[in-house]
Amino acid sequence: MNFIGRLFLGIRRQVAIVFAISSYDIDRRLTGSSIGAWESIVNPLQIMLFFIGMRVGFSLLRGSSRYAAGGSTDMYFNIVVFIASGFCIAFLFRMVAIKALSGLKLRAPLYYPRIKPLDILLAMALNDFRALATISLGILGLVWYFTWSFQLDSPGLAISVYLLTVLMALGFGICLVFLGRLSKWITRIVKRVLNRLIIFTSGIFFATFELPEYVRPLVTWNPVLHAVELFRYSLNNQYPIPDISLAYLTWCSLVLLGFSLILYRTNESLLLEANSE
Amino acid sequence: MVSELGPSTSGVVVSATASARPVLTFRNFSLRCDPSDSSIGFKNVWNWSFLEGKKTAVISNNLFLKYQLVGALAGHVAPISGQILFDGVIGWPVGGEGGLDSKLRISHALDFLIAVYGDCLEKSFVSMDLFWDLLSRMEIHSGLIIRDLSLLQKDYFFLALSVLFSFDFYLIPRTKFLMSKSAKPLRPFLLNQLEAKTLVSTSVNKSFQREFCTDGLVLGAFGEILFSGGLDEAIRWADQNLEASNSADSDDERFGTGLNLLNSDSSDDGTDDFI
Repeated sequence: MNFIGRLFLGIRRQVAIVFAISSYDIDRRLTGSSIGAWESIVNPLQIMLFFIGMRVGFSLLRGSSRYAAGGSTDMYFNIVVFIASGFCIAFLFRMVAIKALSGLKLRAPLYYPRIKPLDILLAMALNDFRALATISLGILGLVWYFTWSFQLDSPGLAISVYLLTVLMALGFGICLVFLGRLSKWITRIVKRVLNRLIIFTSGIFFATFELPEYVRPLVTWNPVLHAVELFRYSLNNQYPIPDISLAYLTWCSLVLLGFSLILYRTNESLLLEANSE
Repeated sequence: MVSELGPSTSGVVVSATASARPVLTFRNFSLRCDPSDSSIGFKNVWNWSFLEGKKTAVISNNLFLKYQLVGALAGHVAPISGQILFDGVIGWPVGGEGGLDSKLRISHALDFLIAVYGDCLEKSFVSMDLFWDLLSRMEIHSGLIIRDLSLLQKDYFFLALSVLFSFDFYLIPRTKFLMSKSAKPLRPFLLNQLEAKTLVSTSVNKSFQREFCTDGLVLGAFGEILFSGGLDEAIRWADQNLEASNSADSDDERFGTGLNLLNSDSSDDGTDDFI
């Protein structure tokens, strides 16, 4: 068999391994939890519903329409679509990164010589991707059904932004999995700082154009904000996105992924060692 | 059994003394020899190969070294230096219970392994029908959850899984269950699968060695190759020259391979402290 044939076979086998680990994780949850495989959807869904409830509550307190996003974002989005679009991007990044920071929780498959730590990280990211994509599509579908106002202006951009976020989350996650091997306290502090940064600077609750120009640099360094805003823009091309750039998101994703793969290649054996916990 | 190679000069593996294909080659390879000191490795690094079709019993008084060797071959332990080059598919330790979460059903576990090692089923002597038939003799069926199996059923199931697939290189660190009466139905199938395949075992069980191995490799406490040859000569050589050791198969359990590879069920999505 020539090189191309072997390469193709190798890639096909690796993809099969990642999907197998993904099913392994779902199957073990299936028997280990009262809600089974739905657990991976229910947990993020309840946080999202809490966020939506919070935002609707503020809108009601301000006396604006209960279906509007509140503030000037009313002109472009329904509140549920606004929060869901921010949540599905920012929380995809957060779930992959925070899980990686806790180290490899799924370690048993490493017993099989063909399975490498990277396969497990990819499989876990795949499961998060599936869960959040299911929630997003479900919620957007429900909103479109009830308001009868389907809008997806740039589906290509939406898919690209989603995939770039997955790549960036994966790259960031691989870097963090090595950080997770440090002291438990450092890990805990990093986890809390990351959580707050992601929740408050990723634009889940706000739109960049609503911020005064001098405040924007405080949040536009965050590539997740670019992903969130570009995703909203892909739903509605009228949505203004000042200081937001697809090029910045692409660069951040590729640089993070490239750096993480080099880090992984040179330190893979560290991930096989005993859990620090 | 082993073909000595010169110090590493290139990635090409050359069998110096035999026509058989090297299945596994050590290159400037060294392992930890002392559990209490991670800096103590081999006196001389290894540069040699295991050849295809050879079934080798590794004999050594250093239990930790045997554990490290199996761990390194299975990919669970990183060597101090060097690398191992494989030409073929290496199996997980035969009968090993790591890898599968106890919450998985039998069918889930099998689906998972078929997805990962599906290509090793094509040349297997054991068909799926035969596999299920073998399991049914111990009243194991697809819907059962692994944690609900009895100890005997578990041992049998994990050994049956190892027998199902056909690998190029087999590792057998422990043989307590394999040589027991309960595993008798599986032994002929394992012997069949091993035909023309390479085997490395660190078990000290003499009846296993006589039934499954053809060659012996005697290692010193620091990885020195003291003797390499036929099994009977190797056992004789070890009996005469190695310090008397009372090690039994159960002693090896102190250093089980892959014991640190456990799944964790603690909260992992950070919902506990997201604010």
